[in-house]
Amino acid sequence: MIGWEFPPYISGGLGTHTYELTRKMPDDVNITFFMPDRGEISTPWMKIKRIKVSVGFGPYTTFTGSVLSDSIVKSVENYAKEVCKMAKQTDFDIIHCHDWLTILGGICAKRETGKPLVFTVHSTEYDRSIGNPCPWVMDIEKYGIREADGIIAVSKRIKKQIIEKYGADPNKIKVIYNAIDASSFDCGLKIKPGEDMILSLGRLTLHKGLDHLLRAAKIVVEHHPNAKFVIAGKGDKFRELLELSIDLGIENSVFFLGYVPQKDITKLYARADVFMLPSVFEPFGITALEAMAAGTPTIISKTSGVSEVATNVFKVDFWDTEKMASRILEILNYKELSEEMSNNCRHEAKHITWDDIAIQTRDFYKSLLR
Amino acid sequence: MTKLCMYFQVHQPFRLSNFNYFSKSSGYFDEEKNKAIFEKVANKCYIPTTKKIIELIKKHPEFKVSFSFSGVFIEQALRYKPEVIDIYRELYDTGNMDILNETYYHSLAYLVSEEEFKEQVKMHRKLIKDTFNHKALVFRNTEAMLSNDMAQKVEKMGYKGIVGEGWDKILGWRSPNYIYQPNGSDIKLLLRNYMLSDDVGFRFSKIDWKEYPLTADKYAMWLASAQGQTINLFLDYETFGEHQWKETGIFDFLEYLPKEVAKYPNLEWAKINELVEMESKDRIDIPHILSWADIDRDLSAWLGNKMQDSAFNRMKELGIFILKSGDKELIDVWRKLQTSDHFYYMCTKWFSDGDIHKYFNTYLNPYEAYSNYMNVLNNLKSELGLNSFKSKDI
Repeated sequence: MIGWEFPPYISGGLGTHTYELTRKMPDDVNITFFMPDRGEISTPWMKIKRIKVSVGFGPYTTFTGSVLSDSIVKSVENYAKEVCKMAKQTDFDIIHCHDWLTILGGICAKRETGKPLVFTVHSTEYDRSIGNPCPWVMDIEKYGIREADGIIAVSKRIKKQIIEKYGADPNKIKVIYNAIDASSFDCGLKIKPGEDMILSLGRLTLHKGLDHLLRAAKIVVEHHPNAKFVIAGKGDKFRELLELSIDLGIENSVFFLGYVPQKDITKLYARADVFMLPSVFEPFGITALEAMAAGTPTIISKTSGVSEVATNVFKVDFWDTEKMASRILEILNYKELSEEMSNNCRHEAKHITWDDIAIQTRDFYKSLLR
Repeated sequence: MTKLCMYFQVHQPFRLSNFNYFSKSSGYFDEEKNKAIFEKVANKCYIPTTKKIIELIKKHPEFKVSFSFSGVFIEQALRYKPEVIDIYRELYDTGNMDILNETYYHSLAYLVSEEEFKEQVKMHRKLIKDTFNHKALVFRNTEAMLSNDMAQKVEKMGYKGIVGEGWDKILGWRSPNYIYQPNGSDIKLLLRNYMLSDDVGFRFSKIDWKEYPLTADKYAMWLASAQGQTINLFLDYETFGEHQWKETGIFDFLEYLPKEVAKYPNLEWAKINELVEMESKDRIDIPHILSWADIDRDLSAWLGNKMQDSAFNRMKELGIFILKSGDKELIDVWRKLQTSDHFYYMCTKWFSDGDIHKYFNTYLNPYEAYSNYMNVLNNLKSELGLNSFKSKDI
C-alpha cells in the first residue's frame, strides 16, 4: 500500500483512513506500507518503508492561481520513482494507492510487476479547487483512474464525479465509506458544560463553507447572544473569514483556534453543544462521525459524503444560512432534542466501524485477484 | 354462522408548514402539500376503491362495509376534492355501510383531558350527522386506543360498542373472533383479528411471504375455516391503491372477495353496528391503554421518547391559554396539533438503528419533526403574547 500522510502527521481524511484501514485489515492480508519519511511511527501491525522526499505540502494543498513550484513536481516524481524501485524488490499480490500524490508510484509498480492496481479516491482536484483545477494534478488523477484495475470512492458523490469529470469506467468503481473508531472519541461525558458552543473543525479553505456558517452565526447570535462559534483549523482563508466575522459584527462570538492537536480535539468535541460541517464540497467528512461518537448533536451539509451514511443528524443545504441558524438554535434551546440526538448519534457512530471497511476492502482485493 | 365485518379507517392529517426557530407566520399548515397529497390519495385510493365497493354491492347485495372518517379527513375532502364525499354518500345510500365515531382531530385528546376528549367526540358526532345524517353506535378512539377506563367513559357517552386490537396479551387463550365486554362496563368490545387483517394490510404484496400471492379464494377459505361469532377485518383504507399499489392486484382481490365468500354458507357480511347486538362471551381486563400500532401495541409510537413527551406536554400546557383566549382559529390550530401523526413522526424506536419508521412521513428524521413542531408551538405562543419555550423553562 502506498500512502502519503499518516498519524500523527495528518491534515485530513486520507491519513486517518490509511491508519485505520491497515490496523483493522483481516489477518489474511499482509501489508507493506510505503510513505514519505516524516520521523518514527509505531505500527506493529505492518511493515513500513519510509522514503526520503520533501513533504512541505499535502494531498489537500490547492494549487489554484499559484504556479507549481519545481520542488513539488520533483518531490512527487521522486516519490514515485523510489516507491517503484523498492516495490520491485518486494513480494506482493496487489498495489493499493491513495489519492494523486501516490498514484504515479503505483502505476509504475504495476508496469514493472503486472500486479493489479487499486486506487482509492479520497478527494479530487476538481472538488478541492471548486471547479478550477490545476491541470497537472488533474491529469495525474485521470491517469490513475484510467490505469487502475479497481477504484474505491469514499462516497457516492465522489463516484459520480469521477465518472462525470474524469471519465472513469463505472464498473471499476466500488463505494467504500470512511468509518469511526468511536471509543477514541467517546469520553463518556453525557452532560455538556452548557457553554452554548458551536464547533467547526477543518482546514480553512473555500470548500469548507465556513463563510456560510458565519452568516448563519449572525442570525444565531441575534436570537441567542450567548452562542459561541469555535472554529478549529488553519488554512489560506483565515484572514478572509476573520474579516467577514468583523463585517458581520460577530467578532466577539467567533473564536479561531488555529491548529489544535488531536488530544485537544477530542475534548473540544465533548464540550461542544453543536458540531457543524457546513462544507460546499466534502468527499466524506470524517469529523462529523467523530463528533457523533462524542455524542455531540451534529449538523452536516447535504453535499457531504457523510450525509450518505449518517442518519441521526440534521442535514442542511450549505447555502441555506437561515435553516442552518434555525437548526443551531433548536439544538441550543430544545433540551429534549439535543438529548435524543446525542444519545442516538453516539449509538449510531458505534456501528460505523473500520472493521467493516477493512473487510469490504479485503473483499474488493479478492474480487480483483480472481 | 360467523359474521364478517370489514371496517376501513380513513384519515389524513393536516401537515404542518416548515417553520424556522424564528419564523413568524400564522400559516400553520402546508396547504399546497396537503392538497397535493390529498388529491394523489383520492385518485389512487378513495375514489376508485369506493366506486368499486358501490359496484360490488350492486352485484352482491349481501356485501356490507363500515367506515370511520377522521374529521380532519372530511374537512380536507370538502376543501380539496368534494367529489370524494359525494361518492361516500352514494355508498352510504346503498344502506350497506355503517359509520363509526372518533375524535374529530384523530387526536390524542383522551390523554389531554376528559373535557377535551368529549368536546372532540361531540364535534365528530355533529360532523357525521351533518355530512351523512348518520348516528353512530360504535366508537373508535385514535389508533384503536382502548382501556377499561376509556371503555367506561365511552359507554357513558352513549355508545354500544368500541373498537380495539385483538391482542394476545389481553385475550390470553381466548380468540378475537368473539364479542367481549371490558371490566367495569357493559359496552361491547369489537376486537380486530390482526392476523387475518394484516394478511391483507401488510403481507398482501410481500413476495417472500409463504402464502404469496394471496388470492380471494384462498382468503375466503381461511375466513370460512375460522371459528367464532365474528371475524373483524379492520384495515387502513389506503391499503387499497396506496399502501398496496394497483399493480399488486389488490383491487382484483377486493373484486373477487364477495363472490368467493358467497361460496361459504357459514359466512355472513355484517356492518359493525350489527355486532353490538350479539351476546358477550366473557369479560376482558384492559388495565393499560392498548393500541393497534407496531409490535408493542401500546402508546410508544406516539409518546415515550423525550421529544414526544416534551412536545405533547408543551402542547397540553398551552391549551389553558389557548382555550382562555376564546380565539376560534387558534383553538382549531391547537386541536390540529393534537393529531396523532405529528407525534408518530417523532418516533425513534427503530430510527437509531437506521431503520426508518415505515410511514408516509414528510420529515427526513424524527429530529426535524420535533423541531418543526416546537417552532410551531413557539409561534403559537408568541401569537398569544407568551414567551418562547426554551431549555431554561424546562
